[in-house]
Amino acid sequence: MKPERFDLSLPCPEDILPDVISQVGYPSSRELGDDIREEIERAADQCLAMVDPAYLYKMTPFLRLEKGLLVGRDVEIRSVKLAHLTKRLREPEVICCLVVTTGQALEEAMEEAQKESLFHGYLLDAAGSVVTERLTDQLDQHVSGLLGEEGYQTTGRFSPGYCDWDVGQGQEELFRFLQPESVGVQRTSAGMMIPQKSISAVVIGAREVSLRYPCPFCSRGDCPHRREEEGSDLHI
Amino acid sequence: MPKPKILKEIEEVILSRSPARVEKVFSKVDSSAVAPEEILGAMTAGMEKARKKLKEGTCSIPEFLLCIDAFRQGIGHLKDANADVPRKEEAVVIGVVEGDVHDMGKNIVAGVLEASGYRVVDLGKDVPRDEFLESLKETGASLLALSTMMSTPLENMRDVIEWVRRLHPEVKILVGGAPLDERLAKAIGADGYAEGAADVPGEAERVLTQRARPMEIPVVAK
Repeated sequence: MKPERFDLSLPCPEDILPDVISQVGYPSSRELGDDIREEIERAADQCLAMVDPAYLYKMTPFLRLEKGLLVGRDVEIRSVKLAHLTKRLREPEVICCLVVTTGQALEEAMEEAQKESLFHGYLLDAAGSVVTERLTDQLDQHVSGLLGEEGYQTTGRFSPGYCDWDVGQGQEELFRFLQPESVGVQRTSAGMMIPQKSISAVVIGAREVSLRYPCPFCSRGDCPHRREEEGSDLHI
Repeated sequence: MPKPKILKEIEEVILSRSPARVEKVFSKVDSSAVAPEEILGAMTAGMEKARKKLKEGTCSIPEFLLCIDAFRQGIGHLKDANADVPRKEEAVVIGVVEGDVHDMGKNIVAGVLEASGYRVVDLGKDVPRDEFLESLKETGASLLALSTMMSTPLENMRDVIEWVRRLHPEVKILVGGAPLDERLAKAIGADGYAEGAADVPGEAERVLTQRARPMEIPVVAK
């Protein structure tokens, strides 16, 4: 399946505000003073003005499962938990790898802001994280839509560093396959992405997806990233 | 303005969450009548209250950062007035270890250490081991503060600690960041671990006042 171009659209400031408020550590906007709320709004506006989104995705056939390893034609994903999930899918056939970035300008703005004011830098950083997630959601929906047209359902997206997928191995595989340097994304020796506000992930396409995340196969009940799904009573 | 009143105002303005108020208060300071040590003392007292509130949970992280910003604004005023800003003897070298580029937490800790009176040498992020070693040599720092937000660069952190132990055994090492806890900090050879920014000054003080560890002499059976 060939990638199809589409434009990522920036969210409205008011749409991201509740998430930014939560990201900086307030349970709800009720806990905020007007002064802090105004500053969060300012940071959200500034963030959106600096974002220059770019993305890349590529699909590759899923070949087989080995012990704790998903083998695709062009990538290998070493994760026992994702392998457990994949085992539960009916006819997994596609691995879609993707990367999204908010661009270098925001990265530089965050760095500059911190020199002047740690407070403002922190808010801008939080706004950047929220916008990156939102942009990745759009790309995720886009590729899920494309796969849907081909009769596939999709899992939730899974990034290097999630659960037992080692960041270093994961990024190495995804960078080798995607070559996201072409959209301005680099990686450090330990697999961190630059710009920081970038996300890389995989989505698996199968004929039937009854579970989207591997959380039910995980015994870490206190995991802050745990996602519950309806009917997920498969704890092992 | 009488001295105790302006010092009280300085202490309070650190907690005011208002950069404009900080400007206003500092513009009233008569630097010929109040010694820089006294101004700094008032600022530090304000920061101490902020730190306590953060620890108690009565102050949010953004509010605490506003206090650090106010402190930095105050230092800027002292420097503008050509005042000799009194600092602790100990210098701290701080940085994010090689492989990691997340420096928000490190920047906050650097601000907290500065507000606690340390001379802070900030090496930035993704810092190679040799740069830490070189900086410790150049600055004669007593404390090295290392951070990472990810687990992959922990090996690099352990490597830096190992080399610091060999080349600068007198330097105390403090670590922090998301993948660490007290047990892991100890396991990779650090002297101290701070869970959050508010714990950093106390932990720095603790490791710096620790007696030098006695050398382990192997017992040889006769």
